[in-house]
Amino acid sequence: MKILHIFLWTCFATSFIFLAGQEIHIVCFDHVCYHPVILELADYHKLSSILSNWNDTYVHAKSLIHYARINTRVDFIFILGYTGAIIMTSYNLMQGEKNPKWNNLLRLCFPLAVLIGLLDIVENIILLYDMHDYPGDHGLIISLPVSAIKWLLTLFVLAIIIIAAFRRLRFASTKKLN
Amino acid sequence: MFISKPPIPSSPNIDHLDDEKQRLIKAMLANNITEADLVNLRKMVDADDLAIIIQRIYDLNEKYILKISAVDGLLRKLDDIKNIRRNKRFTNKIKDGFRNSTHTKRKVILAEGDSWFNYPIILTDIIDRISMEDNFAVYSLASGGDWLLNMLTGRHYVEQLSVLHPDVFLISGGGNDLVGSSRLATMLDPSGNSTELGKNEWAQNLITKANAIVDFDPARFWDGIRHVSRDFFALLMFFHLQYYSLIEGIVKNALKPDDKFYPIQIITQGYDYGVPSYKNGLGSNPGLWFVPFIRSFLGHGHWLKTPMQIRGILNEDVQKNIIYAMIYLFNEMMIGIGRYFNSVRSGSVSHIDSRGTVGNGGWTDELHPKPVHFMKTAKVFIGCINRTIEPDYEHVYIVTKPVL
Repeated sequence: MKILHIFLWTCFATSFIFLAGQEIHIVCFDHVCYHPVILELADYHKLSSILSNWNDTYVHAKSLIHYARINTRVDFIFILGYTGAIIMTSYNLMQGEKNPKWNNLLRLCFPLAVLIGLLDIVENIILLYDMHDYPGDHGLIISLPVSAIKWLLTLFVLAIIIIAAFRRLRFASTKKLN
Repeated sequence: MFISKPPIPSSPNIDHLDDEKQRLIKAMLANNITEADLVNLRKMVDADDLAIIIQRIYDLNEKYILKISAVDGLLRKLDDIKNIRRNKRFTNKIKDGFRNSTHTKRKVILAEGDSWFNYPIILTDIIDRISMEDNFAVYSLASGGDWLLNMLTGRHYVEQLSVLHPDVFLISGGGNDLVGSSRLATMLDPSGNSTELGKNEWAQNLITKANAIVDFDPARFWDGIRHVSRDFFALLMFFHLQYYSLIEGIVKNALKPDDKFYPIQIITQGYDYGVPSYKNGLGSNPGLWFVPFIRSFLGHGHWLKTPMQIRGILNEDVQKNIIYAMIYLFNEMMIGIGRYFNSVRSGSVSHIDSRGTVGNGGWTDELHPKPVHFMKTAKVFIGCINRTIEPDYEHVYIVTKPVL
């Protein structure tokens, strides 16, 4: 079990560093506007314009679509990592949460983490399809509906985890004061 | 139906036992023993005798009983995940000087039991909630699916009692011995004409001695008891002997301040009335996602419902009443054991009575309450250990219904 924990946290950390590092590098050092997340939430026209723009923008002799494809593929590892991280974190917090309602909310994070991961996989498949052989003669599919649900659930889960962590810290400091 | 073909029973022989012990065991197995004789028998039996008795009750040889009662495979791994976490936290507390004699409110607790004390991962069970208390260091040997028989045979608690010298020993067992491997089917009388309770003076006394504070529904009880066979009473008396043997081994070493385990407090629990069901538990509340999940993937219906269906007891009310009668008697048996040991050393045993607290809609599956009910029960354990609440009567703490 410990090995699984280490594996998942490693997936989470390394893929996060890679994804964030790639974006920061392109934006800060190459001074190019590149934010893969906006692609997820774009409508048809915006998606088309972003992909066209990325197709015409080159960084180190490669179009931005090339980097976006790599980003999306690495995101599959990130999905595995963050799903595991959410489950492990909410489980840890749940095991210290005395309030039954908060305890139950933290338990709810387990299936939500899996659902978020699955939605993210669907989203990535859509984006890879859109970017495949761009600009080919296949049409574009927007990931907006899937991504919107994914981000809403993500915000909900993060809010639960942050508040639960805050509750634990507050109780810990109250205990120390006493 | 669920287990591989058992080996031919070896008909455990009791002829080598002395005449009086033989007579009492035979009377017990025939559900024809007086209370005085059961009291005599419990003083005579040892671990070997208990092994023989269980073979006679289950009509299986010892090796096979141990095989079907063993917790192994994925369930064992999941049990271990929780126990490793719990015991790591215990060790860290001990390393931090938890056992400092100036902190009298701190308690070292040893827990042995079944899934009410260790439900794999998803549910917050009783020991999970108890472990959250800062003034408790909990060492857990509990395993979901474990039989009381295994706990007594394995004797891991004996080793840990000697090593840890706990302030409190928590024990929960018997549920799997009753319902594991569809054994419940053998405890039923589908004719509905069973008169076995009338033959058992000891069991009758359990009812007459029962305290009126606990809700008792005579209609449900008598309807249920009419469908309970002789084997159930034999098993109930066997539980009595097992718990007597277990607790006696501790209490006799905790009578005086210079005794090894003094002043250990033993806390028992006796479950709530489970609900036989095949329902998948699907509902509109996403917060209860784990109910259909557990029922679908971890099994549901095979403990209570299927054995009753096997025996042709199809009426849902009758099914519920049978469990009502069995759990009612099981709790009274546990209370009786505690009453006896408290007469030996006052305050040595407490009982947490959960009967009627979960209700029909409060179950994750047939046997396990939803976490809110586990946590409610755990709070009574915590109050009992900290002595911040008084028993409702004698040594019994009644879990009140939770406000949902």
